[in-house]
Amino acid sequence: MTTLKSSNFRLVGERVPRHDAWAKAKGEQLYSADWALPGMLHGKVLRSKYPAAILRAIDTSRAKALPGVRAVLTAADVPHNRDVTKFGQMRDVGAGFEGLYKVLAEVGGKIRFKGEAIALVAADSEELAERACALIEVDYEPQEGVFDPREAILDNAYLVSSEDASNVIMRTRVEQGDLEQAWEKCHLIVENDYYTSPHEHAYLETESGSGWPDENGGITLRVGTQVLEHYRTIAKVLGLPHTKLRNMSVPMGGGFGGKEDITVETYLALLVKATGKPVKMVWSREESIEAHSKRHPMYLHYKTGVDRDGFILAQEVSIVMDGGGHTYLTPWVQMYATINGSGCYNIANLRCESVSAFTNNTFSSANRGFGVPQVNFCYERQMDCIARRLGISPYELRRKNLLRNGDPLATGFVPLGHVALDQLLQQTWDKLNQTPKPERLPDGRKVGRGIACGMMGYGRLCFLHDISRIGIRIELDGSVTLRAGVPDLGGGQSSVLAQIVAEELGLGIEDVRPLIMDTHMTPLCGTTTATRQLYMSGNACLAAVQPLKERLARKAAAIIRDNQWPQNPATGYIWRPDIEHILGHLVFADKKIYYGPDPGKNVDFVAVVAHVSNEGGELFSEGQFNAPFTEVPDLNNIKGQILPDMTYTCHGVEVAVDEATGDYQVLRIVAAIDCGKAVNRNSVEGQLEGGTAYNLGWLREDLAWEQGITRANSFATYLIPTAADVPDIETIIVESRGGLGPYGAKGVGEPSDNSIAPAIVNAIADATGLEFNTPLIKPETLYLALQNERN
Amino acid sequence: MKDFAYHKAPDLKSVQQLLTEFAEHALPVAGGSNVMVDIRNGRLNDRELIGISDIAELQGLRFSRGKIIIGAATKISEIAVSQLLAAKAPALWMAAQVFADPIIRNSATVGGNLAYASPAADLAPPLLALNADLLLLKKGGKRKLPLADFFLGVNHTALEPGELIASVEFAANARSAFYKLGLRNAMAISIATAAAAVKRVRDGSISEIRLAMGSVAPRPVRCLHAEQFLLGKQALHIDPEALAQALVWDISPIDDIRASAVYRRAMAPVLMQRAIARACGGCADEVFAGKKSADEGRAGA
Amino acid sequence: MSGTLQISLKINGESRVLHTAAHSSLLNLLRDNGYFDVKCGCEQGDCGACTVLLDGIAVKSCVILAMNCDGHEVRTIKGLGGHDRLTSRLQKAFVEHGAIQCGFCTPGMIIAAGDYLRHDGRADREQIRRAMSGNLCRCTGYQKIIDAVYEVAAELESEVCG
Ligand SMILES: Cc1cc2nc3c(=O)[nH]c(=O)nc-3n(C[C@H](O)[C@H](O)[C@H](O)COP(=O)(O)OP(=O)(O)OC[C@H]3O[C@@H](n4cnc5c(N)ncnc54)[C@H](O)[C@@H]3O)c2cc1C
Ligand code: FES
Ligand code: FES
Repeated sequence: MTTLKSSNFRLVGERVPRHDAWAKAKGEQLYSADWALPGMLHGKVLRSKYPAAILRAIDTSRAKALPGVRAVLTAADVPHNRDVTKFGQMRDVGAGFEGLYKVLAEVGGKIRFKGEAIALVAADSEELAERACALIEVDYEPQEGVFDPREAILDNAYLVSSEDASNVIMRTRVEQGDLEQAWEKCHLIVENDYYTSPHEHAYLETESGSGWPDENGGITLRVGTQVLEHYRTIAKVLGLPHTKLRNMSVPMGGGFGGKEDITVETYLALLVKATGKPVKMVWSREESIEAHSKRHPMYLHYKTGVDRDGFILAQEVSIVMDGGGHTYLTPWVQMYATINGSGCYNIANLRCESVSAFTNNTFSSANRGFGVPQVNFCYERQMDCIARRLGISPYELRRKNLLRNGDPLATGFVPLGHVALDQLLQQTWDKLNQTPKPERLPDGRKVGRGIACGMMGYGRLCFLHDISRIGIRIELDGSVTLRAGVPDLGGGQSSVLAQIVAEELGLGIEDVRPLIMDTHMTPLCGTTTATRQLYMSGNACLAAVQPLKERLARKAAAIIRDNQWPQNPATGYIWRPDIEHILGHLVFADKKIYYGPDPGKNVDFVAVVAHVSNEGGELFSEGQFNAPFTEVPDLNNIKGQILPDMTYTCHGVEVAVDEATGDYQVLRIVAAIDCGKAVNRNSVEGQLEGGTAYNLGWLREDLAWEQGITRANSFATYLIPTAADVPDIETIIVESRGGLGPYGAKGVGEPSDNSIAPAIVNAIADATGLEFNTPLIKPETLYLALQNERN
Repeated sequence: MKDFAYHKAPDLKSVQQLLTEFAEHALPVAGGSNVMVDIRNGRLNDRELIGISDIAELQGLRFSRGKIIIGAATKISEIAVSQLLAAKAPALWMAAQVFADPIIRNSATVGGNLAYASPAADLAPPLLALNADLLLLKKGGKRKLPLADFFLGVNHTALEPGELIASVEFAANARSAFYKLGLRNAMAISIATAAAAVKRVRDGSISEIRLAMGSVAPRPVRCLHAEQFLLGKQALHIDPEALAQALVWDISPIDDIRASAVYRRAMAPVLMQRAIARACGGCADEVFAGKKSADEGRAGA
Repeated sequence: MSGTLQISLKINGESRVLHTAAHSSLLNLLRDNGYFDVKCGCEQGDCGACTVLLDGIAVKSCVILAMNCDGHEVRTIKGLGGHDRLTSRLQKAFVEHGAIQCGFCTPGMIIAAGDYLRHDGRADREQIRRAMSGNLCRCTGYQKIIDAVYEVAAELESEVCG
């Protein structure tokens, strides 16, 4: 097959406005809660008041008796309330995550976190549904609970679940070289304990959706979810065949991993089935914060040894992860944390061991960075501690140790894509230090600068055998329908696919209409998680568009050849190149197909489409892309390719510290990433800027957990950064073309947020000399630490 | 179950009528930024809501014969943009700059801020420092009450059933300033605030001063001990330790979700010192490290 | 339901007579009547997603008592785009700068930006940041939002001066 390569990009690399940007600017975009159907009921969830309790009994009779209440459901009413899977057993998404998946808490069993769902109500109005919830009588027997994973893993610990004999969720380990020998050769060993705080996604749109009964016993859901494929689990819970549970997702008001687990959808399906009516459910902000996952809090121990010159000889890491009340994605997050524990450095001798445990805290699961921000924070704090102890610059220390092309990762695998860490570090450092650092600002605040690197995979764990599929149909007017089951969280996940198709076919982005997110009407693309959509679905797009392009090109070449070579007036003879030659020189651009060497010879795209159609040629195509497949690794000694490839970042910041109050401001941020190829420049910068602000927030956002109770459960108390808290972000976009995605692109969504937090804390250390070993630094924390220092 | 009724008061006469009629059950709603949150969260129920946002007589600010009079339904944003207040009552103006956020300021009112009587009400310390009086209206009568006598406790005031705040008034004082410490640069309920109004300075030493703080006691407080201590002191050379000692008697901070009592106690003299320095001629920034809001301090002083 | 009251107000230029509970917020009134372009992110004034114009001034509709708006005029993003030149310019700038990711904050952001510019807001990044500080965005890091507002502010300034 002839590959038709566009040598010069027209759309790829540009700041192309997204296909949905105008609809959002005008307020036309309808999100998950922006939907109403005649006769729609309102669903509510009754949630546990206690973080740890035995559920003795539930009496729903008073709630059921309330006029206008249409259904009150408990676990006893759920056809398949439980689902248990083993780690790595399920390769397809949405088929139940590892461990126990439970829809509603069961009588006789344990309540595992505050906010766990106990009963569901559907009623004529939201207020009625709330009243009905209040009328459900729940008999709890409160338990002591356990709230610290370090305690939870002890033998005599309180057992969080009534189904498991231990609180331990999983143990795993990565090892390389000979640690014991290496320690002996070290000139300096730095050892620290760290704690990383839970983090709330705080998307502006809370979990919402609606569902309605279809003909023939089917159910359709319209929700905001990162994982369309959950329809299989929902069908299983209800005892329906997969074909009868249609899941339509809508563009989300943000996800960041928090809409990766099932949220409203099973509840809606159950209530629709029970009432036979459309049902709507919208979680309040408080409910959202208390009932969806958090970034795993972790307790980490780091021991790093270097030689006299600062080369790292050995690093040992041990991690205790707080999984909260349910398993969800803990094992997978744990894998990410463990294989990334030793950082983006070339270390011959290393060990990283981790254990995750249940506690009675809100459950932990995916949160932008998926276990990596926590370890990234620690290893980059280690680097600064070492640099200060050795008296060399943090830049120099990193430069010496960074991973370079050809270096193996902790699992021994050599990354397939390009490693641009040294370039990112260099450029960030230079930009940060363009001007000399002032000791103090004119107002007296102390200034500090800090830097940190980061590394994170894109694409799912290879042993999950990831797949994406895309459908393309060319319409007779030359426009294109792109069908993709791609949940769009706002990162431009579907728009970039339209851009790729438009680029390949020489059309404008406005000519390609993406129809997305419908389990039974669009090809399944897999989850919008793991920074995988551009990589996976972008490649699937190319796979889908190539045969179409080939077909159109053949027709175009024939048309051009037959009609556009002039007759020699003298001889009456027409010389024309053979069709393969023309085919090799065709360019798709401006809604035409050109013969490259002589662009005067061309044919309209739409004319070619008409020809192909008339001749009965296929104007549709589906393409599939498979990621590298590997086997489930040995958890005691993880080796080999765990993720397809890595994305690298670097952040540099300048902070000002008000020593009298402990308040600090981030004054400048330099953020660098190698995105391989910026398919949409605005989107790449947007991800980097957004990710940067997201984890800048991690430094002050405090859920104020107290014995399983989230004290900061609203936006009045859980304070995410405002525009006045984020400085201008100077982005550096490196395009190595060394990624596995389309055009050499890498994924950027999650990697963007990793290295900012340690950079800020490193800058605070530079300003104050205080070495914090947690990202959560409120003004009060800083003030008290300064006081301690003084005394 | 939420159970409310609504009555719109188009003018002062009707509002007095309605307030008298419903007495303890009546709840005026001005901007609604406190009331709506409390209704949503179930902290309020079973009340007669009296809409007062359309009453023209409660709006606007005036300056006459050295006095500034601000109608109770005046929006915080009107204070924030007032050149007059920036010049004549910078403490209040500065508080308006850092109050909530620009959009909330467009609906939140002065009267609502005071009547809600949150310990963290940002307008209370500057108005206490400016020695403001409230004009209170009731059917068949009105009275003037010093603001210092108005706050009785958390959400608890000297307002009698049927009584309404009509306006707040105070004498201009260009040497007044405000300083707020919050957890964010906007939309932050105060960790602690300080306001200072310097009446007279002779040879650099203070001969009359009024101080107040927010979020350090169950109600916004005048800091009488600190005032006493400062008399005769050089405004720009205050011993922070000694000021802290004096303030201890004025404040009684608690732990809450925003900060600990320990931290608040430690911050009180720092914030107070900064407010005083700002009040004494906008030189705060050279003397003490300040936050961004220091810019406004300069602009206002 | 606590007895529904009648309210007359102008929404996006259209006179409407609607029904609402005495304690209902303006946000609920609007969304209950299908004005889904007004978003809800917190219901207590902390996010700005519900920002609308009330008598030409930007307010957070979740903390406004609906009944207090009886006889007044409300405009949502749909009632501004296309009618109000400033809003249209802001929308264009947001689209072109990539200031819109998930877009959930966008209607509120654009209305807040318009409020700033209508009150003689200057092309000053720091001031724009403060002006937009009542509207949360979790996706963009604000950078491109500030860029977009700055561009319109600078254009307006040069139009006035030039
Ligand atoms: C997001 C957000 C941020 C906030 N940030 C701040 C902040 O930074 N600083 C701060 O101080 N506050 C803040 N607040 C609180 C609130 O905005 C202010 O207290 C505001 O000034 C209240 O005014 P209002 O007109 O909205 O009051 P309303 O809610 O209408 O009324 C509040 C109370 O005052 C009573 N009342 C109102 N007017 C009168 C009157 N004329 N006479 C008698 N009683 C009256 C009402 O009955 C009610 O009890 C914030 C609120 C929100 C939602
Ligand atoms: S919904 Fe109104 S401010 Fe959040
Ligand atoms: S674009 Fe998603 S919240 Fe702003």
